[in-house]
Amino acid sequence: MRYLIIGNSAAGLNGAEAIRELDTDGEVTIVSEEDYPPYSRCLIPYFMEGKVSEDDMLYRPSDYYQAHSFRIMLGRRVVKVDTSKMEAQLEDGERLMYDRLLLATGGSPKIPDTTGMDKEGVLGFRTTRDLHAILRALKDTRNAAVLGGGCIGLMAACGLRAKGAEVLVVIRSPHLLSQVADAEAGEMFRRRFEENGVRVISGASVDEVRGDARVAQIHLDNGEQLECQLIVVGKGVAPNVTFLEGSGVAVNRGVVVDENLQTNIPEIYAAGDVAETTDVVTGEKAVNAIWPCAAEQGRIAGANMAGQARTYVGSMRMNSAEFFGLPLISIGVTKPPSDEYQVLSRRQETRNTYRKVVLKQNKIVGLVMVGEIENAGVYRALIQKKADISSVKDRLLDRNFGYPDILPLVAGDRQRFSEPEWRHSLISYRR
Amino acid sequence: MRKIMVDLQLCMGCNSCEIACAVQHSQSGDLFEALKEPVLPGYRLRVRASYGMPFPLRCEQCEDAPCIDACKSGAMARDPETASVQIDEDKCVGGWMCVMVCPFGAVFPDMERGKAVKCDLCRGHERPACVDACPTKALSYVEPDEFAARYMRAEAAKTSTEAE
Ligand SMILES: Cc1cc2nc3c(=O)[nH]c(=O)nc-3n(C[C@H](O)[C@H](O)[C@H](O)COP(=O)(O)OP(=O)(O)OC[C@H]3O[C@@H](n4cnc5c(N)ncnc54)[C@H](O)[C@@H]3O)c2cc1C
Ligand code: SF4
Repeated sequence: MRYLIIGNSAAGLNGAEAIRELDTDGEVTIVSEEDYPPYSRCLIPYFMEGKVSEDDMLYRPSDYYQAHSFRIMLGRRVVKVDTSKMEAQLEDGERLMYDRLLLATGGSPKIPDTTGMDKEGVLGFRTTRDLHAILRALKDTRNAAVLGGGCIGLMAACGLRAKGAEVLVVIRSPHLLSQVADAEAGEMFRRRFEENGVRVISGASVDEVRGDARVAQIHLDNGEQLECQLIVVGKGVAPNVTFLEGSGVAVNRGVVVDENLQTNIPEIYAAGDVAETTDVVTGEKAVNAIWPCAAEQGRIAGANMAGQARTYVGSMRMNSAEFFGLPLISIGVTKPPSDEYQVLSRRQETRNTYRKVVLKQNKIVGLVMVGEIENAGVYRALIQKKADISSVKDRLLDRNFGYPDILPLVAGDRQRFSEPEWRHSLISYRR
Repeated sequence: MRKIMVDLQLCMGCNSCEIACAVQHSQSGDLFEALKEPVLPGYRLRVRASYGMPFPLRCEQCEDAPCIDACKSGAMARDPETASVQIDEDKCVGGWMCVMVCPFGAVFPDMERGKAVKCDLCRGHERPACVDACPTKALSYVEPDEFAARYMRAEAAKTSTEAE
């Protein structure tokens, strides 16, 4: 069996490993446009902040491909997939045949088409290539501007600040982290950024990038003009799907997959930031472009490709980040769209903590934790299991709310909590 | 695989397991020395209260462990020898992805050191320290199925003696 995997990251690598576990003889080829050993792009901010070395950014050891008998093709881009001939074509014309294909090409930063965005000094924050371009540009940068106040933009801002630049963050929304948290959390982080010398301009967007070859100023739609020699764009990612044009593989917001992560073409699977899956909280189709989803989808797609039928329960929107020492975890629905939802929340100024639990019909559908993040996973389990939390509602905002608080709930609903771990933890439990 | 199993009926909440865990994971391995260490060792097992009953909370070594998928640095992995879930502290960057997904809240964020800590089953030792430390034998290091069978037998014996 010939397995071809396009993508050398969370989804691709976990897919390849799952295949290898089940099929020791199959031919597994991994192709990647990036010419870099198996690293985690999530560690780019840590590298900029000086917390890890470039070697520490490796997600798997360097002898990894050999140890698993993977054929690796780095620095090679797939430009076309011919589903009838079952082959992928590389930029240099080489063709790779497959029996099973995994699309794990992730996404690329969305760069707005604003005038001047094509100037030198405008960069994304996605790859080691971007990282090195930023580091080079920083040598003659005093003022850097970050566009976007989501996790990626804010991680970039922390990194740039750690490198000594004057940093400005420009966001269109009224508060930071508007896609992942709420106004309250956004304000806590704005304060944290400002205390650390980062200026935040909200409710504005760049309407022109000015300068000669290299950026020199940005002009905002509120009339302000600001000096900057570097712009880092953190305005979301778009799935890498252009090579699929004309292939017949169905693409919506991302590559469309079923619960086995199979596309509309039976031999082809997709996983990670390139795939559109069902969000378990909202029930809607979504691209939840985060590492845990990419890794799990890769693993499940790989197992299916190697013949072991496995279903994916669905993705979940969740984020864990830390900015200037203040941690944030957010999951699911954080800004309830209607009054069908109930919100429990508690802010403790003295501890600088905030916790918010969003409920819908006595089920938890969202969580925000700032400052204290212990036990976040217990809430997540309740979200994923769609358990009725009426019996513990009055405890949800307790500082130490955790597994011991839900023991009776889990014990009373063993069908829902059926995995071996839940059972094991309850063997000797008596109410 | 063998795990740390708890007989909740025997646990009296004395915290001996917690202390043994902390000492085992301290640099010196000695209770009094450990207290002087600049960074106190994190407890990987914590005795919490569940509606007035003590509950020794620890990693369940999940078969399909969400923390392994979630870890963005590749620090959380399954140990091929024991099938247990282990953190490579050198690789851990304190990204708290594991804290976000552990359904038991059994991966603890050590915010000072920026490292996640969890039960490692006292890797390299014959038995986890907590198991040896428990005065009531509430903790045992066994296969879950074996523990369940033993527990059921003991319960049955108890009810039959009660009936006599
Ligand atoms: C700076 C940064 C920080 C992040 N931090 C977090 C975090 O803290 N937590 C979190 O959950 N997520 C985080 N993310 C998101 C996370 O990195 C992604 O969700 C994850 O990398 C997705 O993995 P993937 O395998 O789907 O795709 P990617 O990681 O995007 O990898 C895509 C792969 O496909 C290859 N490829 C693409 N197109 C082609 C082609 N045409 N031909 C050949 N090869 C191709 C690329 O070379 C690459 O190897 C972060 C992302 C960034 C950029
Ligand atoms: S040592 Fe034994 S009795 Fe004491 S708290 Fe731990 S499990 Fe319970």
